[in-house]
Amino acid sequence: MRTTFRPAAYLRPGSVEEAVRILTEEPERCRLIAGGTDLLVQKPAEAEILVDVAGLGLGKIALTDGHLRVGAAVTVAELERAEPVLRHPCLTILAEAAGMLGTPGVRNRATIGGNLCNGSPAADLAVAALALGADVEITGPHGVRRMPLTDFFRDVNLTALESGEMVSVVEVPVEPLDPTTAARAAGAFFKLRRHQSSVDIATVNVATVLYLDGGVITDARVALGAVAEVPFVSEAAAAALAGHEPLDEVLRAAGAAAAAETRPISDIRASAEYRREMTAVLVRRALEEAVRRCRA
Amino acid sequence: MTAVTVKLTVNGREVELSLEPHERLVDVLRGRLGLTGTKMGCGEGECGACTVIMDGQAVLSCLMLAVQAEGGDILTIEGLAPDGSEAGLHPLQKAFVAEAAIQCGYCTPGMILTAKTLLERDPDPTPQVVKEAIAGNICRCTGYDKPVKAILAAAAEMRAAAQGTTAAATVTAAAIGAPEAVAVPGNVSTTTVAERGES
Ligand SMILES: Cc1cc2nc3c(=O)[nH]c(=O)nc-3n(C[C@H](O)[C@H](O)[C@H](O)COP(=O)(O)OP(=O)(O)OC[C@H]3O[C@@H](n4cnc5c(N)ncnc54)[C@H](O)[C@@H]3O)c2cc1C
Ligand code: FES
Ligand code: FES
Repeated sequence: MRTTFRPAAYLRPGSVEEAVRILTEEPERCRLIAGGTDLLVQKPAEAEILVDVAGLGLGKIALTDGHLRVGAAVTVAELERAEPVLRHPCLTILAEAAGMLGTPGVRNRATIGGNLCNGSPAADLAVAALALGADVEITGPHGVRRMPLTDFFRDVNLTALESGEMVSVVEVPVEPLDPTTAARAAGAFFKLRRHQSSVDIATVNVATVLYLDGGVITDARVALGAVAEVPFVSEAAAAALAGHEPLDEVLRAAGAAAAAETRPISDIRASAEYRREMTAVLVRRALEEAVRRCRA
Repeated sequence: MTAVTVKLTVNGREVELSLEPHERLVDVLRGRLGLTGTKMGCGEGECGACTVIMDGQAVLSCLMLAVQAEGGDILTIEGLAPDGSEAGLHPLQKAFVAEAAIQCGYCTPGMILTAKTLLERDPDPTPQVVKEAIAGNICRCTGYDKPVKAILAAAAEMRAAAQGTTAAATVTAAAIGAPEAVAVPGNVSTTTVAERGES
């Protein structure tokens, strides 16, 4: 039984197919490494063969019609500054979340794939991507499959990835924006930290995307982090919003509905009670901000 | 243990090393290359003392395996003033001395290298932007006030130099003493970054 992190080999395959072949041959001993900002802190003793994600051609962000495709190896710093992300009032929450993840030095190496696959309940990009209705494209020994991100997170540090599989792309649907109609959409990302100006993972993080048409909320997605074993989308919050005007009491009701769906724990960052309370507050504030942006 | 041959450029010099997979970049820089200007603090990405510049970006050398730096162009604090003379110091280094922005100095190399990447992106940052840029560089001595002032002073100095006459600009370029091959953003020839593509 190995007890220290001392990988015996480091491999840098040149394609996703090659990486999957390596992972499939020795699933127990292999471990993917991207930015290493989670892996090299956790130092898992069982990681005997490190397989680097850097050379797989997964470093691109592409806006094609109807979709934003973000390669798994795109760094958090790249997302923070990516033009197609910053330009769109919904996609911009990815940049907002990226800008609040860790420190600049962490962001320069950390990847979106690592953030999702590490499976932290507080993962900032996971919460933003959930609110955007993202899918993950998974490549494995049997080819490519795609899955809504809502199905991807299974438990603390556990994802739906099976033996030999890896995430290759994160895909976000992009609604076309037509300024000639009354329909508007915008998002917001809020992150509560122990000291708001400091670098810390979230005590609670919330992302929302809101659709307004003629003064009525036609659709909304509210995603929550650090308040359950996995980041998740609050169905109750969405139900409290759809079909209503974005009045103060409606947004408050959505916050309360979201809070009721949380299953928080108490830890060094906060008590479960505080997390639940703050979920209601953050959801309301994020919705208010999204409404403001829709009307801006 | 499969040793891996790694080629990288450090402070303008190409080096080839035979490394074990688990060796961190910080340990290789300090232990194998004797570049002890790079400091080891927390070892977990929290403090920024180990910051170096790779391919134009500030990275934490404690959270990188040295094998991952294959093909990378690395600048450590030693490469910022290669001749070691006072006149040859980078404007950031001069400003840190002038503003007394250093006490124990443990955070200084990381702070200066982080600031260098900031000023390449944003030659005229606000104090708030400077503070955010060095948010990952923890200093237990100075209270940050003086480092922020020093970075702003260096920025002003570098802008003035850039706006000077061609002759003055040439002198400044020589005076900062940066080796020719050192990280120039957009002129990156490594597999890692090249394959990551444009964002
Ligand atoms: C100081 C510090 C502060 C941090 N702050 C935050 C924060 O505020 N918010 C936050 O969310 N996170 C934070 N993190 C955690 C971490 O930086 C992020 O989760 C980061 O996005 C991980 O990406 P990576 O590329 O470094 O992953 P790695 O460490 O390389 O990998 C993480 C895990 O994912 C697996 N993996 C990587 N890529 C893939 C892939 N394509 N397919 C399948 N599996 C894959 C790896 O095998 C590993 O198990 C922080 C970390 C540090 C050190
Ligand atoms: S030693 Fe690398 S961040 Fe602290
Ligand atoms: S001068 Fe001592 S840590 Fe910054």
